[in-house]
Amino acid sequence: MNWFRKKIEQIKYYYRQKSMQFTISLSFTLVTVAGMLLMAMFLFRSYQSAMETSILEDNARILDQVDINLNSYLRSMMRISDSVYYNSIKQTDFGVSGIDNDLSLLYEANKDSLVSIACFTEKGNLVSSVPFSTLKHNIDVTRQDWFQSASEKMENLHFSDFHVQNLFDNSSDRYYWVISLSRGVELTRNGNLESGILLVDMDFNGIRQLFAKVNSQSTGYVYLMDSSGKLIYHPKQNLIFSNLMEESNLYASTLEDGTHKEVFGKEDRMLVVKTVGYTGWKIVSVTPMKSLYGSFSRTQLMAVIILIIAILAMVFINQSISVYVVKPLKHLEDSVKEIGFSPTPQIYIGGSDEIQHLGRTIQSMVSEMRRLTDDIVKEQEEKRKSELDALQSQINPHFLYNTLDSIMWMIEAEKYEDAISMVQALGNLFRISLSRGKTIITVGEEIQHAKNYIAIQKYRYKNKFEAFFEIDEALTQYKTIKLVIQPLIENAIYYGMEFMDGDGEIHIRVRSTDNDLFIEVADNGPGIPQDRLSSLLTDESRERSRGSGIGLRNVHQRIQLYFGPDYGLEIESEPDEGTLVRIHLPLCLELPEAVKGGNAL
Amino acid sequence: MKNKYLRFLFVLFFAAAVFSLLYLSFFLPQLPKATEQYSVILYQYTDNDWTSLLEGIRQAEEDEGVVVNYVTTSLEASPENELELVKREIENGAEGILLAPADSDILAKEIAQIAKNTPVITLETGLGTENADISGDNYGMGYLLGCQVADDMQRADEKSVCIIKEYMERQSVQQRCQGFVDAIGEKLPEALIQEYSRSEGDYNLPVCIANMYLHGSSGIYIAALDKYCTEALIEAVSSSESEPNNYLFRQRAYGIGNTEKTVSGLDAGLIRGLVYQNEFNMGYQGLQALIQKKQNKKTEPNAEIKYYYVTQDTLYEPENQRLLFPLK
Repeated sequence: MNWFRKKIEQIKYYYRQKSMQFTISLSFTLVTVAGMLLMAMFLFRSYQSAMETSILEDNARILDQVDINLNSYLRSMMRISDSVYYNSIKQTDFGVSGIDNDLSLLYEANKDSLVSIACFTEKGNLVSSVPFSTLKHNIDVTRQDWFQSASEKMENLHFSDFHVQNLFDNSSDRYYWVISLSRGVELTRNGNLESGILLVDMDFNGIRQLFAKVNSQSTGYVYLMDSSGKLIYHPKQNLIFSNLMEESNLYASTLEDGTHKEVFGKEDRMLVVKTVGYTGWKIVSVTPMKSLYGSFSRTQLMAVIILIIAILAMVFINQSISVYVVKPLKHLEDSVKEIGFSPTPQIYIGGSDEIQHLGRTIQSMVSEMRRLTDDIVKEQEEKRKSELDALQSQINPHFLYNTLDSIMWMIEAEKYEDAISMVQALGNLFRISLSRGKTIITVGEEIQHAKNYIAIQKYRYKNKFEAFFEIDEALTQYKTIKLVIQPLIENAIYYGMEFMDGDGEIHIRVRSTDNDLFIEVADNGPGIPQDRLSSLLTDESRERSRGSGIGLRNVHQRIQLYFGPDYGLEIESEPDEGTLVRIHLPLCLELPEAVKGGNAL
Repeated sequence: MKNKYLRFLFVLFFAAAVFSLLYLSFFLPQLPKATEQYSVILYQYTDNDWTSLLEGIRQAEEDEGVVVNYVTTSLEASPENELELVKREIENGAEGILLAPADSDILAKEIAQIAKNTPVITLETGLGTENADISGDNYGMGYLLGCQVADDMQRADEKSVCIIKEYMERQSVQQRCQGFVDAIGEKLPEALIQEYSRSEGDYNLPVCIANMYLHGSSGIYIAALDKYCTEALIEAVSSSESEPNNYLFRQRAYGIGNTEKTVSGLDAGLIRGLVYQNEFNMGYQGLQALIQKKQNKKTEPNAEIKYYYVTQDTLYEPENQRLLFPLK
């Protein structure tokens, strides 16, 4: 049982590993083949049974016909015997005349089926006979079976075994196989009654021909035996007498009339038995079972070939159907695989209604997913921009505190003019920083913002550095996102100018090429070590605590978020020589709506 | 590649199945059924010499579904004639020969040569020193006849017996003769065994036998060892019915054979007893053995063929009736 379950599981596993086309094809084929085999078996059994019944019915019909013919033959013999007895013997006084003429006439009328007619006294003396007239000299008829049977039961007609007639001198050297029909008779001689025996020898050939004709027609064969099972006629009588063949006649003699099955000599056979009236003889029809089926072996072979052709055709058709069914699915599967790789996958829509529907559903789902993904990306970018914008709008409280502290110090030192200038610069710084909430301002405004910032820082750093602006006025009208220069200046001051002793320089340049705008902030500070330079725009772990809080990385990210990855910051630095930070922007007088909305160009 | 191969196999198998179906449906029924053909070559004197044997062969022919061509030579035909017939039958398409050799020695070499290519089964008489493939025990038949004759001689207190030594070129007759002589020698050592054969110029064997018996060896027991000699003996007895010692002649005549003439002779009391073999079996098994040999199946040469002794009193016993009066 476990083994069986294990096998089932193995088959299931095997099935699961296979393609849908293989599964459909194999399943259809198995079901079809099983159905066809069942149908073929059923038809075969029906055909076999019908044929068996038909042949047995034919044989039974033939047997009935033989029975009728044999009965008719025997009755004709009995009529001859009756005729001789009642019309001749009973009418004749043998002391006065004989019956030779009557017998001759009767014999002539029936000589095809008769060998001889003879009448004997109870002592075995020949009274009259045709066509032979002389008994063999060494014959004692009273010792012959037919004579003794008739003597014992005078009132009956007796049929002997078939035998070679051994009564008369026969100059032609011809011997006859006969069945003797004998009866007791009363002979009148000179008015006195005496007993006698009337013998009618039937030619065995009559019976033989009757059966031979039947045997040429039927499947199997028919034979005749007496009530004790002794063979009278058999189509292979000589073989049986020569012990070259055996017959189940003794067994068959015990059977009732009807159909019986037997196994004889390792062979299954069907016997139909019929008893012949009066004589008690039995006609037996023997049909070997293999002969029932042997006759349709060709049909059987043809049926098998048709079955094979049908199965092959079914395999082919199933294969085609499975391909037809699965092909659209495979196309769909292939197109679905593209989703991960192609930005615009074409979902296959074809095949049956269901598969088309599935394709459309997937297509709609992919579109929806793409829309949702885009929304998410956009949302994320917006979020990022908002964060950067929030950062951009922040002024480091420490910077504000220091600036206000410087202003307070100036007022205490009664440097009112300087304090006013510084407050004015701080105010301008905040004004541009706010820009009425705008993100995009002109390069001129951005330069102005940088100048304000430098002005404040110069107060704070006590003119440790000088700032130089090299601005092409024509470029001031172009657009930039705001607060991109100030963080660079802040970096230059904190890392480049803080340790300079009045000879620090910061150069702010604005230039352009055909389509690009470059704003450069260069200092002559100590420069940035090469190991830090490469990670300056990418390392998110680095935190700034000084300045306005807007780092180089944020500026770089903001520019890229607004204008795309082709734009941003570029840093060049040489130790002890200085650092150049270049802002690369598109040269635009009006930024497109998409840029304004925050999407990359 | 694998798929292409499978597709090719599929198409091939399908085509083969369709072709088989068409062949079975339309072509096969029109083909004539090939039937094996065999030949039986027998020597004979009258048409009834081999009645039982031929019945057996016909039965086997019917059972095995083969065609048999029956060829006979005259009794006096030379072995060369018989050999010519064998060759002619093979040329005419016989696939095997069932042969009753007229002369064991002369035919032995030639038939052995032929048998290398075409199966030959010998009946009754063998070739050379070999026994016949299908035959009763010829020595045994001679011995059985010798025993019966010796018993009768003892009862009659007679010491002389004559053997008709004709057709001694057949091994079967030689063996029977040997068996007969041995039986007489064992049962009746003091018996005098005479031999009779025709002299040159004596053509009519029955007349010769009658003359020999009636004018030279009257009262002697006489035995014929084959069917033709037995028929001649019966004819000799029959022709001398008017002779005064005919009764002794018929009471002391014995033979071997089961032709219609020998059986009716026994029935008429023209001879005392007959030894006969089951010729039906010989014919039936002979043809079967030939077919099996042709089909290279294992054969059983020298199949046991029974033989019996029958007298006028036992002629109509069921066993003897069946074998001596064949249903034709």
